[in-house]
Formats: sequence, C-alpha cells, structure tokens
Amino acid sequence: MDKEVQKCVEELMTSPGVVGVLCADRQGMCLTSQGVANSNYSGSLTSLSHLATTLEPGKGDPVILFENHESQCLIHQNMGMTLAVYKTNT
Amino acid sequence: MDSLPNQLGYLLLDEDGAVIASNGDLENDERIGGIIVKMLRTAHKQELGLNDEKDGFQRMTINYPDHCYIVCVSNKRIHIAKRLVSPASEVIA
Repeated sequence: MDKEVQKCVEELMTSPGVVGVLCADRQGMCLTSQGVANSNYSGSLTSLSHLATTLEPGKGDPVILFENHESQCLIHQNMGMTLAVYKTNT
Repeated sequence: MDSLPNQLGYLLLDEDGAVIASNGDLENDERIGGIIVKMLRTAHKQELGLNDEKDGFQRMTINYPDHCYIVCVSNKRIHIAKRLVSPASEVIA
C-alpha cells in the first residue's frame, strides 16, 4: 500500500500549482510529506479534518480550504486518511 | 449581510465564540460556532505552513457538495456565512 500512496503523492506533485502534499493516518501520524508540506503539521491537519466532519454528521466528509494572497491549502479526509494539498495561486 | 445572493445563513461571533448576530440556517447555532472556533484555533496555532507567515490564512472555506461555510476573522470577530453552491453545470460539446 505504501508504494501506491507514494506513487499517488508523486503524481499529485506534478499537477500544476501543487507545491506540497501531506498524507496522514487516523491518529495524525504523517505517512508521507513532499514539497512545502511539513510533517510537523500532520496532527493539526488531521484534527481539522476530524472537526470538520463533526460539523454536519452524516453528510460526508467536507473539503476544507485555507487561503491567503499567494497560496491555498486543501484538506480532505477519506476512509480515515487525511490528505493535504498545498497550492500556489499563480 | 442578509441580502447576499445564495446565502443560507450568517453567524457573527466574538473571539470567545459567543454569538453576536445570526440569521437563517445558522440562527443562534452555537454548536456550529463552537466547532468553527475550535478549527480556527487549531489552524492558527500551527499556521499550517502557508507561505505568508505573518498573516497565516485569510479565509477558511468548508465545502460540501451543495453548500459551503465561509469563515473570515476581522477586527477580533469571526464571520461565518453559509452559502449555497450551484452544482457544476455539464459542458455540452
């Protein structure tokens, strides 16, 4: 499974605008991080995705988006795994 | 704020999460307010590694297929808007 995740992350990193990808498990342990994504943030990112799921229980897992002038951070949880993608606006 | 198009509800909180104003779907919704305050604190603590270190992030959006919550912090107040998202229209070739 590790190789598949790694392959997926590497594929994502080649997408336009993507500057970082982080993948964490249910407990917030960082499985992989590439580019600007810092593995120190994996706990916070997982915690954020858990909190967002409690917003509207039963409505599925939402996508959380943080934005500032120059970059975006998208966080999504699926089957307990949290994926964070960092993008630049340019 | 009531007159924004596609807006389903609005919530204005102070920095402690107390409701100052609200309307629509979010009328006095302290539960949603509490969760969003927790999320902002979690995000603020770590800055999430976003490039602009000074500002961190400017806007947080929580997207569901048919609606979204847009959260902004300004002047120590937390503004939360629930908006309808129009489904992506099919492209006819």
